[in-house]
Amino acid sequence: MHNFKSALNEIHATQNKVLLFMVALRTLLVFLISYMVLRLFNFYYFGLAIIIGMMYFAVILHKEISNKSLIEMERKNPELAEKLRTAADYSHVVNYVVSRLHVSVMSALKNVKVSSFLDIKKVTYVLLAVIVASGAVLFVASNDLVIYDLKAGLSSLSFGANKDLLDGLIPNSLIEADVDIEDLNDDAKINEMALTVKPEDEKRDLYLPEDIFEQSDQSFEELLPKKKRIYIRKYFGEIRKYGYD
Amino acid sequence: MINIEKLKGTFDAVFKQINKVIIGQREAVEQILVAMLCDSNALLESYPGLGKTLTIKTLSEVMDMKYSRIQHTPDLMPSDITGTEIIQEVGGKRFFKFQEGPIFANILLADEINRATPKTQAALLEAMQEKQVTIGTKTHQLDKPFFVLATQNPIEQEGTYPLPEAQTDRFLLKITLDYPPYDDEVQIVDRFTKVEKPKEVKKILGKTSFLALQKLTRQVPIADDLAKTVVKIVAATRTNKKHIEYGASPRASLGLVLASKAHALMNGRTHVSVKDIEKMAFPVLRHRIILNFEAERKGMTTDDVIKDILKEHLKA
Repeated sequence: MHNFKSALNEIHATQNKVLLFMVALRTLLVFLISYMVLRLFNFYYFGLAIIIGMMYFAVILHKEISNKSLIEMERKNPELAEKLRTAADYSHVVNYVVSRLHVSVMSALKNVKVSSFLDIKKVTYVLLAVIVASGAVLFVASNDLVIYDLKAGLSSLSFGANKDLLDGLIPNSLIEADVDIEDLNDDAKINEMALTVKPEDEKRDLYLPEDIFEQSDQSFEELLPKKKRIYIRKYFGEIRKYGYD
Repeated sequence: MINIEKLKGTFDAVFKQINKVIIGQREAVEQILVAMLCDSNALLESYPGLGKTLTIKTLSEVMDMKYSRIQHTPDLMPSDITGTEIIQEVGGKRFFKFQEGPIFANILLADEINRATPKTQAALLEAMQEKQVTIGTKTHQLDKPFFVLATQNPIEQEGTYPLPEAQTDRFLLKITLDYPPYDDEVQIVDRFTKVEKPKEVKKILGKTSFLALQKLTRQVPIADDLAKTVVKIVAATRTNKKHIEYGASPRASLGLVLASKAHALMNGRTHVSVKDIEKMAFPVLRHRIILNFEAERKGMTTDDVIKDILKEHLKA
């Protein structure tokens, strides 16, 4: 019985290793597909793909372990048909017939190949799918293909939602610029003005750097971060609109 | 030590010896042996003249067991079966001595059990269940192994006392015997109409060996999923309202598992297979199911209903 129990433990250990390998392979495939799709929509592709992959791994591993049985092994080894799982169910029982069954199963197990634990067809298909998915990911990444910039789209939508809250306190132009007041330049005068400005009344003592009236220098613009560029354009757009001299 | 794998050869030898006298009926003999290995009893339903008595008598000779026969009639009394105390006089002194009835055998053929009164039937059934007989204040144990093969005639039901379902449930199997095929009948005529000394049969199994085999039967393992399948099959007889009025009780689940174990052992296997369950489902369940009007209107038999249930639940 002790020998059979050791053999049974070995079978379970091998099954678990094979199971882990298959689940890891499928997780890799899911990760690659998620990465590709998220990249096409430019939406936190690396981080989200890893999260999706990890969740898939956990769920599928739990499901596979719960459904693990010896029936698959019996199917591939006819001499073990119905014997193996019966012997496994009675691994703790000691009687004459069960002992004979254990001996019979042990001698049949000697002819079992490790490949019988693997579904070769399934492994081949998954590997092929991984190769194809990897190729697709490389193609998308190298050509920087984007169907729709979901990240930018969602960003603009989310600032617009706060519009009503800030109405009256901050000019609309600043709200739509999607920048924090604190991120603007450190000039206190401009900050003060931004909080108190009301376009219909009051003369403004506006500090404007001289070079704003100059033609915009393409190379200079490129040195500025994107956020600041958007803000500056909107800021002066508003000034033009309200007719400040 | 008994070699399990070689047991098939042993039972084949038993069938071979029986075949010297009885032609065909291999399945019926197999099922009788299954019931014996399970330390239970069987109900045999067959038309007259099919060699039931000869079969069971030959079997008892092959197994070296004491054989007894009771022909049930409406005037049969319980004491005619169990035995009674008689007064004996020795040296001027009188005393009661228990005279054993025909039930004190290893293999008992209770012929046409449905002809006896319910009271007499009850006496036999009680002895079958308890494996003992109580006369007055004394209890007499029956010899082991003890097996009853009760028979019923499916025709000529007038003036009979059919066994109620609660009593038929006590029989592990209901074996049906049909008329032999043409070729077998020709052989039967050839064998039994010639002036010939009947062939002698060899003893293959003794009482002690058979008792050991009964113990081994219970040791045969059955996979958990197969045991659950057996329970599902029996439960399906209770939930199938399309054709079944009353389904089988949990006793049927026990019976089917035991019978499958015995069948596996007889075939030299150390585990129960789906084939064993498939084979034994019919004799175990057919007397425990009552069909409804819809099934009878369609002309269905209990075997047809059992076949449908097995098709649904068994994947070979």
